Amino acid sequence: MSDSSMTLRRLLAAIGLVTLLGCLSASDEHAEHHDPPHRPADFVAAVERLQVIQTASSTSEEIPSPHPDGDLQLEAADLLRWLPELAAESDLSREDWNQMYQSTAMIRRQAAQVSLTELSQALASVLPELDRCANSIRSQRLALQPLDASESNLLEEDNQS
Amino acid sequence: MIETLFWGALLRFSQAAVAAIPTIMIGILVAAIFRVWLGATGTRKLFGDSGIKSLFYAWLIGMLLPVCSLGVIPIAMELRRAKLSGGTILAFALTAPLFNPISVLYGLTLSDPVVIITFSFCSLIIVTGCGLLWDWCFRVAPQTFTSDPPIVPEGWRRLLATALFGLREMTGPSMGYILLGLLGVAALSIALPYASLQQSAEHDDPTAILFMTAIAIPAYATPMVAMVQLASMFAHGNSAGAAFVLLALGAGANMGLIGWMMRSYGLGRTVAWFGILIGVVVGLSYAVDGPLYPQGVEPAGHTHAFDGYCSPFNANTPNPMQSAWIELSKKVAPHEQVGVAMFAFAMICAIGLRLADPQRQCEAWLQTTPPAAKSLDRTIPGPVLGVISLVGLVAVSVSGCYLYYPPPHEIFEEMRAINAEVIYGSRTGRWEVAQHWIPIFDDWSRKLEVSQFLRSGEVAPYHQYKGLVFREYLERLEHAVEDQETDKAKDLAGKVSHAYTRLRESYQQ
Repeated sequence: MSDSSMTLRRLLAAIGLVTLLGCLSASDEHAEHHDPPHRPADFVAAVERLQVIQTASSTSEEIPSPHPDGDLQLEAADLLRWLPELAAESDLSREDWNQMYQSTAMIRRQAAQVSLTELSQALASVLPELDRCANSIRSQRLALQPLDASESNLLEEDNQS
Repeated sequence: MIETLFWGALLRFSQAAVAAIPTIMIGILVAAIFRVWLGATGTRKLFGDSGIKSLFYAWLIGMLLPVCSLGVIPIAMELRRAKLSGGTILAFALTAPLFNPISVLYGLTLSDPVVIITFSFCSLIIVTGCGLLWDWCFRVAPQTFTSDPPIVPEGWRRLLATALFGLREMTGPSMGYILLGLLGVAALSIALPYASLQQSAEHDDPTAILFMTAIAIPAYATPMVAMVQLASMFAHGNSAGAAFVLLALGAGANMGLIGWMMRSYGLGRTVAWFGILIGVVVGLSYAVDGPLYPQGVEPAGHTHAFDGYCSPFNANTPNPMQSAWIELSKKVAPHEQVGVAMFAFAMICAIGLRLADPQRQCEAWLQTTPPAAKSLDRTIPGPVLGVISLVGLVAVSVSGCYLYYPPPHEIFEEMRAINAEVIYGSRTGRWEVAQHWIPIFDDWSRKLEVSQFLRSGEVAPYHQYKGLVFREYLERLEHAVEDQETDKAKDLAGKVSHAYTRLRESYQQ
């Protein structure tokens, strides 16, 4: 048998094997995004939860945590880490966002490493700024509510037509 | 099933070919310049003859040239003809496809700059390490260099000789190796079922690096695609080591290159080279996996970065032939259509030349014909030409960056129209419309950040987070569209639109 025909046979055998492997392992599934159970709906909810955690840790009160490990400190660390993203999902002004980002920079980095008492103290120092931003978002929402109502009416009419 | 696999493989083959055409043409042009303009002596001089200096030069020249792992084949063949050391040639062939100025710039803004700088540095270690080891293992006796054939006189004759060399290459052995590389891509799509690599590069999976090594060699990616995949892996919190393997082996090697190596150096040396290469790449990947893992990124548990290597169709795809054609015609951009047309025209000319002049009489005539009498025409010395070429390359790269990444206000003009298409497709259940525009929308949002970086020297965290939120919702919408979930898609389309509005407004503040 010549070299070229042997090479061709080997090539065809390899293609056949690869095809067979592909056919045998066919799958139609694809991945989904899953939010962690302790991820808040928005920035305001995150700040409210941080306030609860800060109050509980400063009074040594034990409260349940939805974090997969049930750890309140890890939950607080995740909430702090998500703050810039959650704030970017709102209509918070650039100035307020930058201020929030800078004032929480240190605590975001160290939240998981310090003790719960230290975290509570650090939280107490940034919560007024976070609360100010949350209030700003709340007032923006209140101002937008009448607009949202008219928009949903229009959408409903549009759907009916 | 066989029909689905066949048309899927043909689609992947065609997509890779279309993406590779510009860099194949550049590769042939560079090989022609080495042959016709520099000659073997000039090429050896350019690469610093031999030793560690030549390996460093190979890395540097490779970083500057915009070629992919297929386009590098004609250049590698020319370097072998010029009798450069095997280590230098293989080092060049491996580095050139990894980076080019535009892709590095893109990568610097998409991933952490430390990652790109570390990856570049790691590639230098691989190149010098593997090259030195190869040259040491397979030492050759000092070569005697025969004198170059007479150089074609400058002017139109040399330009014509360059064009003729390019046309000869298009029907020469290098095109055969390029086809072999493309066949590797098709075979990979047959072996990997639809979306089967979405969970293959998780950060906490110790086998992710080894698995990526296995699939990366037959895979083909242009430097730009590799950079986008890298960014996607970092955004999804995938393994940083697997990302490095994908860059080093996925963008750097392919079946065509392996075929050429086996033909030129023999099976034993090729196996030795890949043994050294894989050893160094895997070792470095495990070393950088932990330190380079992005902090603060929520692992998504999957990635879409490798969907392009798998079969494009699942078992339920109706009429795969028609689907393949629709997919191909939708994904080929206008500039790629121009590239395909130019390549087709050049191929017709190349076949015509091979049939009309198989004895290369044209080239012989160009070499022997005495140059015409000079009037005001002056010969520019080689070093001056070299400086002009280098400055020109840098100038073209810089202006290319500004053209490829237009100013933000122009990008938002594009995005406005795309937003309308995405919302329309998602809300009305025109899934194919939404599926077509969502990746383009995502791409523009990334180009926006590169554009901002180019023009202001930084991308503010405020802009980065607005872009992050936008892409997060866009990806969720993509999933809903893939699953054809009507209500979810409608809801997410609204969120994408809001996120887009906020992104646009953030650049106006």
